[in-house]
Amino acid sequence: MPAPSASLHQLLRNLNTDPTLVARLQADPDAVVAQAGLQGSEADAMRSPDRYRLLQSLHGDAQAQPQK
Amino acid sequence: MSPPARVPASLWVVGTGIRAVSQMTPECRLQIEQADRVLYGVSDAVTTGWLHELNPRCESLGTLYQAGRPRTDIYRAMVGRILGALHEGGRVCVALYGHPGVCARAGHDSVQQARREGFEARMLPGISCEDCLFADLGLDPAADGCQSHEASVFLERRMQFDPRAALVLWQVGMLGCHDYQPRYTPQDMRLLTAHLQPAYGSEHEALLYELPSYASHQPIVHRTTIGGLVDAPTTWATTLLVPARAQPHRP
Repeated sequence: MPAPSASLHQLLRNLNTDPTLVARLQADPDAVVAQAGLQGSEADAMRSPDRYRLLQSLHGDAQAQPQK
Repeated sequence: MSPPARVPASLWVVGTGIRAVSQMTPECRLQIEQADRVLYGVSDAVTTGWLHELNPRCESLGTLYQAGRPRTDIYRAMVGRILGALHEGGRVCVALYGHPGVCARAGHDSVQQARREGFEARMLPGISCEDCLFADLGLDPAADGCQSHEASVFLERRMQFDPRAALVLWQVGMLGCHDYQPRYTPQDMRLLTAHLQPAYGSEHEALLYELPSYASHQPIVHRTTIGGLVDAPTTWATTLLVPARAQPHRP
């Protein structure tokens, strides 16, 4: 499985610190995904309401527990 | 010219919060940035990348996890690794997911061991999943009270509880699982239901809560009943809230 792209990391980081970007993602996911430069499975994962698709893109295992 | 004064060895155990990046407190971030060495226990990819940006001298504790290894054994090994880093000198920071002292025995044990050995050691709080639960589910623990337990410990000890106050059970998705697994299936949900039912009845509400690490997805709240817990979906990150039983009206 390919490593998650820097664009995906950056978008998730921006979403966690910018509520207006979250609102834009909900209103127009295609625009936010395109602006972030995501492609293929990462773009699909970001558009999907299923968070497991996103986790799969990032971690490989959608339900892996944190190592604490 | 004399060499720079060597910084005395010290240990700082900090939390990264549940939501990546946004829930790290400024004081935790400062300790990560200023450390001579950072050991971290998080698996969310964005936090991991960010930690390496904040301080390039970062090492993951993740190599200590092997499927099937008892979690108590992993925590002991973690404390050994942390103390080993401390013995090498300098300012050591340990960054753990959520609150570093909640469901994180290694955090407390390493601080205590370091202090016993004469080192300066401190823990700085982080945002825990219970903090997020209070906010997202609108629960004020001061209103009717709140009992909080790790789910497996609660069940194994058949803890007594008061149904007039809210009950929070941490790590309910890992109920009865003592070994590390990349993914968990709760083992004893029927026993938990049997322990709760006499106090609440099977139709009393139960909420399964989880806050995703990324704001792209909303908090997950699965509403069920005590009787429905057996079939409810859970992950390692699920916390169970059983709301207080309704109180008779007080004039």
